[in-house]
Amino acid sequence: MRARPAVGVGYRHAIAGWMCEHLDSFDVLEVTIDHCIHGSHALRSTVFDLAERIPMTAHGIGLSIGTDVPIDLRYLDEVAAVVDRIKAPAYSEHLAFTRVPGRDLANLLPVPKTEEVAEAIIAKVRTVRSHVAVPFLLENITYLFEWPDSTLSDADFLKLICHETGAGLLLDIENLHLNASNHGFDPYIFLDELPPGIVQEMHVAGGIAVRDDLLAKAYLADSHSQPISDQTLDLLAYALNRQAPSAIILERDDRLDAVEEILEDIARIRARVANPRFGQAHVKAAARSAN
Amino acid sequence: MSKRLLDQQISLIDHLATGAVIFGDKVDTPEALVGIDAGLLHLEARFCHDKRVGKIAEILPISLELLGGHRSVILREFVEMCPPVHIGRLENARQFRDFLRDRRRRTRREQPYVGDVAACEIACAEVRNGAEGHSPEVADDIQTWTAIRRSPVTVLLRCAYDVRRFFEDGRFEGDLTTAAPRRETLLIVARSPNKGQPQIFELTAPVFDLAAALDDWIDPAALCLTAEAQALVAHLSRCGLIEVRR
Repeated sequence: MRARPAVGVGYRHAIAGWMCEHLDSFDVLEVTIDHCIHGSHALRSTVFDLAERIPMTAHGIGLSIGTDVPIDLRYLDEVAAVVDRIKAPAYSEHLAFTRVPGRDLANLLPVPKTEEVAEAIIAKVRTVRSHVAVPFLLENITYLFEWPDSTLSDADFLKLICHETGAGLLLDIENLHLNASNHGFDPYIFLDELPPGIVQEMHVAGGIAVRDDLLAKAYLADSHSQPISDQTLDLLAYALNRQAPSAIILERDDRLDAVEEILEDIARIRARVANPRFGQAHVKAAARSAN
Repeated sequence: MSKRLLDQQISLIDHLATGAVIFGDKVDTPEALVGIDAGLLHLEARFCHDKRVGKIAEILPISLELLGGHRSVILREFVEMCPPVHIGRLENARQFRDFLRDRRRRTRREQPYVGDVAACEIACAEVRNGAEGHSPEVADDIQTWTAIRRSPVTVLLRCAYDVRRFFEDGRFEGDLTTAAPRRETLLIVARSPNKGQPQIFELTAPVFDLAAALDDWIDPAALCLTAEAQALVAHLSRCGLIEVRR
């Protein structure tokens, strides 16, 4: 029998007091490494104290592994120190780029999905793995646009890099849902294409629909501001039939005062974890017809 | 990866940081980005911009409020002149403060004291970030001190306007419609031992100069302090502005 994944939430310092009071509601906290590196003494102290009370996993937003320049080894050393300090069992980052020399957009952007780009990222993942002692996981991002020169599917691109490097996948279920909706592909086929065991952690969140005069249709955006949608929970349940992640993390970055929604989402995740097979065929069929 | 990919990436980030793209004006797509939907590039640019302004607003709520109806015009000008260079909130806020000061010098528009308000807000954020867990030793008996320094979690500010009324316990409390009086004001922002939020204190010129001179540990005997000055230093120590070593 497979061990159930730990269910938790991303640590957010703005609601640190509430999180500390509700630690019993979570099995694990995900710490954003960059907040520890660049954040206040208060944030670091709170995180390091919490590391004595609850398991933590480490997530990064500042590596920009997709930028076509050599990886920042000093940054990796800082990451390694925080990972060690909070005793994280894994370190995850986005398969994306956020900056180029002299400019930092601080927003996750896609790279062209080609074998050439994959090859360069594979070399960088090896560098990361040689600097950070714990397993490295890559996360699928949500993207609004696709590079015209992409030749590989999302799943093939991720699989190629993970297979060649031994890196695991942090599967962001919400990002999968948004991408499938925005770009018109079947998220269940994406999940079917992932080899069992590749997913080592998962993210879930709730987003919003965005409309704009310059857009032909509404787009879903990864705002981390709303309760998890039923479609995302259905995808989570379906994914759990083939994957055994060690942790499922709820990401919430906006409307943080709605703390009850966080607890309700945690309960909804736990319910799906407890019954991943419940209604599987129905869920899949319904979702496919909706797409 | 080939050089071409980095060129594509530079072109994309430059494009997404352009005011015309962010605000939805008609703009030609650079050659490196041909084939990507212009509407989606606009949306991506908008997301990036909103995130950046959100970071600035977290640190500079009063300054942005003071800009009133000019805010959107000023933010657009900021975008055009100051591309994003850092992920951090404080770094983006400092970039905006510098832009506001420079704009004031160039145009003489808007309230002349906005730059001072922004400086105070940033100082409050810096103190908030640094103050937690910092517990300096407090001691009245100056004869036992071997060294003193200004607390590292304080910020000294020299302002052209008295903007203190906009701040109360580090939060906006003031009336936006009343202008701040022009008066050189020497300030120290600190978190006093019993207060949760940063406090802004006005200092006299001699005390400001003394505080400025205490950047690093110094033997108080070397300062040849009078009895009155010693009492003052002891008081500043109790306020958390000066640290002592025994």
